[in-house]
Amino acid sequence: MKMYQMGANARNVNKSGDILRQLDREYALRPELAQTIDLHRELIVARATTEVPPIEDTLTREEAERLLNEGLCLLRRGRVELAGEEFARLCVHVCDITARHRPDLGDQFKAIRDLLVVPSQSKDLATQYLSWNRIDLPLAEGLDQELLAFVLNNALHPFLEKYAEAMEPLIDKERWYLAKCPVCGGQPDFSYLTQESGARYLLCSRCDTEWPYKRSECPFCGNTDSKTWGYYPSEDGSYRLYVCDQCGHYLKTLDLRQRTPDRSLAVERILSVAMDLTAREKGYR
Amino acid sequence: MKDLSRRDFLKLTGLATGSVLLPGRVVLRQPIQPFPLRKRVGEAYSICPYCSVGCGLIVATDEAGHITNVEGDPDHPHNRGALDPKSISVRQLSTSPLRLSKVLYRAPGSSAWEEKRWDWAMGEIAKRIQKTRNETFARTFKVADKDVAVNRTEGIAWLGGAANNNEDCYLGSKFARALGMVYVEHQARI
Repeated sequence: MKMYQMGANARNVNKSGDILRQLDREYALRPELAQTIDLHRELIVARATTEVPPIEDTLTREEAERLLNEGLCLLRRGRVELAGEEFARLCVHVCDITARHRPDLGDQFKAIRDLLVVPSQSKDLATQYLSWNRIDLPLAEGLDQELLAFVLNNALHPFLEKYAEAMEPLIDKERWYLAKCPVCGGQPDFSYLTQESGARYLLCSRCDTEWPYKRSECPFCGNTDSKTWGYYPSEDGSYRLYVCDQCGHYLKTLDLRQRTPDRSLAVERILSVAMDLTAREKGYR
Repeated sequence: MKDLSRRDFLKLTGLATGSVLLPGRVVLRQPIQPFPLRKRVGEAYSICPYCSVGCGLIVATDEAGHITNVEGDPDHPHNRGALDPKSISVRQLSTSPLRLSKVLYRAPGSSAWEEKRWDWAMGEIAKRIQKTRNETFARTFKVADKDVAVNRTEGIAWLGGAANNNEDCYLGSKFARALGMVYVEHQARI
């Protein structure tokens, strides 16, 4: 049994501080994103100020290697300690923040809040979500899965990020090359092409782990047909909206060969919502 | 077109992705400009044909299938994204205006190129191989006053290159030796 002491969330607060400063800078430059930045700014603060307990049980290098060789993520089967009450508190806080910023979705967030307010229940639901990427329980019937995932991703983030920091040294990412996060098994929601060689790295939608993946292959279905897997470039060439006509997924991508990296990926993910909107309107998901 | 309720409109565009809540267009103070969907680019894997290293390529094509860019494949174990000057310019195999698209023939002693048909060219090549082989074929060779059977032709040589794969080279070398050629070489040995 190993103990990793991460005193007072210091690392997370520093990292979040950088993200908030970058968002503040963009707030003045991108007035059309003001409402989006306002909302996510509050969410980031809520996440950064959550007390995450020390990780008491993690893996040996041999255990990690065995799991990764079998294509299994390190946090399989929900072996995440969620500190019941703190996790439920953050779930409720995320719902309250979002309902305040988006009263048009108030009813839905209230329903999600009622589901997650009980610590034991929120913990069980989060465990199922981590394993299956959705919640198919009668309790969650009628709830929008995307909004439910949004709340859980935000509430899980500080906990998963702590595990990711502890476990990343155990991962030889060059030997992973699978389409799911090696730490938590999450799907990617952003990617970038490296400055040095244009290699693709995926960003986990849950814990922000980055890992390499094949450059010209859809990470959601493995499609390599250039007629059905391709991208639309932005005007300045720094962004690419990859779309797959085989599985209907899209992937926002930042080409760091075209632009000096001056913002963190967490910020790019928020600032690029125009790509999400356009992709969704075209029927991609 | 049926009028959409606000909820239906939001449903169409999707509400959230990962940890990001998508803005609802109808409630924004200032509209978000859509991401341009012009000039879709497809990317396909290929291999450089020039030398035996076989560097990995990513070939970008536009919607009409024309090559717009070639770069090294960063995942390929041979080159990890690096390319030399020949492979960087490999797109000109497809796009160069100097690329021949017709059979051109210059008769012996002539200074002019004539356009010919493929079937004429193939037949002519076969005739000339047979003629040269027959004129230069040696059944025996004298070694220390003895006639040793050689059954060879020294009038034709065969040269393979990096653009030939294993199967091309196998068939080529079998064909060459069946005709009695002994000068059989390959660019990779040089």
